[in-house]
Amino acid sequence: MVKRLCMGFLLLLVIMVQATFASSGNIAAQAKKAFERGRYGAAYGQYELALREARKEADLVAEGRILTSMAMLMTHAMEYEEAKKIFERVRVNALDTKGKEDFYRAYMEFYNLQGEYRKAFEIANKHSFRKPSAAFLGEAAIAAAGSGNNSEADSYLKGIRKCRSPGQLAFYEAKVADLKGKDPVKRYESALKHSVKRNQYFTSGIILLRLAEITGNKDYAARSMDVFEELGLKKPFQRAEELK
Amino acid sequence: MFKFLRYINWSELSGLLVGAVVAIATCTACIILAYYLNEKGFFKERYSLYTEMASGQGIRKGTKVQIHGVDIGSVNDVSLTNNGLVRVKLELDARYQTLITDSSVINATRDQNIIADRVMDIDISKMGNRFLAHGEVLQSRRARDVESVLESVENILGRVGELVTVADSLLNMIADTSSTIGMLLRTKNMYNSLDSAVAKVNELAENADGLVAGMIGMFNTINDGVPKTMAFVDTFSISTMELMNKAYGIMGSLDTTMQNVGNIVNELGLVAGSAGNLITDGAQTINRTDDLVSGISRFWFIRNKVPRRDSIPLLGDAW
Repeated sequence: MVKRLCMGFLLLLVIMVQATFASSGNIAAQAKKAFERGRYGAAYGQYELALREARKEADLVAEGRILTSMAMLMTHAMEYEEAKKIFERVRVNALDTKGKEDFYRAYMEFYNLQGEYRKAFEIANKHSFRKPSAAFLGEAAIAAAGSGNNSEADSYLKGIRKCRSPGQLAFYEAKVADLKGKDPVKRYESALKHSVKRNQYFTSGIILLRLAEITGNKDYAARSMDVFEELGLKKPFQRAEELK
Repeated sequence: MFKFLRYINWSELSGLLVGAVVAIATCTACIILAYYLNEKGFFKERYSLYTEMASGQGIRKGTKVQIHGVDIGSVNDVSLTNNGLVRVKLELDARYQTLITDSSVINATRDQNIIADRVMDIDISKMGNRFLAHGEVLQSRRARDVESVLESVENILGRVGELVTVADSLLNMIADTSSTIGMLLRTKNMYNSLDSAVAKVNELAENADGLVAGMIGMFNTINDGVPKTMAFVDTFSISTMELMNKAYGIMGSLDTTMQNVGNIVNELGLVAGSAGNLITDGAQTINRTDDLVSGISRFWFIRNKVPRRDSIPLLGDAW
């Protein structure tokens, strides 16, 4: 009886806290959870709600971060025109340092996925941060390798090694090796193990897609199709489907 | 303008005189014709009704139609229908249309005496639901005159004659001992049977007497048993009352239990109120802590290390 009463009070407390602090941050946190579970549609919907809340709060930092996340989801969906429009709506100057870094990291990923490495590398050259994240360094490394700046690419990879992110390191090393013309299959397979282990669904799908392109193994294409189908990403799914 | 004529030359005026005579004669003829037609009812507004009868009964075209002896029209046509009935077309004065209803009945009769011409008389004594319109059928009945009465008497006499014939046949059969009825009536068998039937009825009455006596005994027994039954019912009622009293006691106990439960609920409410206060206090404490953290975060050396409240989480986590 007492246990039930305590549970009831706890639930009441949670509801009160939820009701008191239902702001853009909370909705964005829910969106992030949806993203981490691979529910792109739900995540995007939550970000739209969070964006409305952020506008109501007149919080430019929150608004910029939310827009960056939305643009990233659009980039993963390969809806590049829509992603570009969202990126352009971000007031970059109003962002905090972490927000800016995330914005440029997402922007580089946007160009890298389209193969426009020079534009991505321009961003990497223009904007540097004191302790950049592995993701930022990785996208910069890809941009550098893709635009023929191998030494810069290695330098960025060295920075990733300090970040203690073995999965990201494996992935970006494989990607840089691929762009440099080296045999990346082993590296990609290693990175795939990490991404599978850490539930990095999109990265797994991209690695499988690239492995299918390199090796011609239709099983990779089929697995990539499965990943993108379950994530609800239509265009990546179609790309994988073409390889099958 | 006018010139006085001293001398009239009639030979010159002969044509005029002829014309005047012809004109006066024509006018007179017209007036007479109009009067005649008016008398005949030519200018009266009329409407038609039909009636169907079993026989013509001397009705002809032109036979008067009356109500209470007043002429209201005439028979315009008499013909036969497909099933052999006589169909009579009546031309009636429209002024009397509001007297003839669907309950009115027409019959042939003699106008003044038994040798007078037949007329059609409409009986309007019964008020119907609606007035008959142009072209509708008026119901008819048999003629009411001496001929009809005589016809009826003739029919009755014919039936009486048949009856007499039958009675005569029956008497002959009774008189004839070779016939069944004669044998039956002339022998003692029927009377013996009647005697035995009467005896059986008498016996049945005696048995009924015994049955009645038995019923009286049964009612006496019931009368004796009823007081005992009533005493039992009385005892049963007392037992039921006791049972009800016990049930009432149980209800009282239940009521007490419910009161106790109510007290427990009240106490729980107090506990909930206390818990609510606790939550309120907790929320205030959280707010104070939040204020404290906000204050600490203003120090320059930790300003960038304390996460902002409700900041938007980034997606690019390390993995």
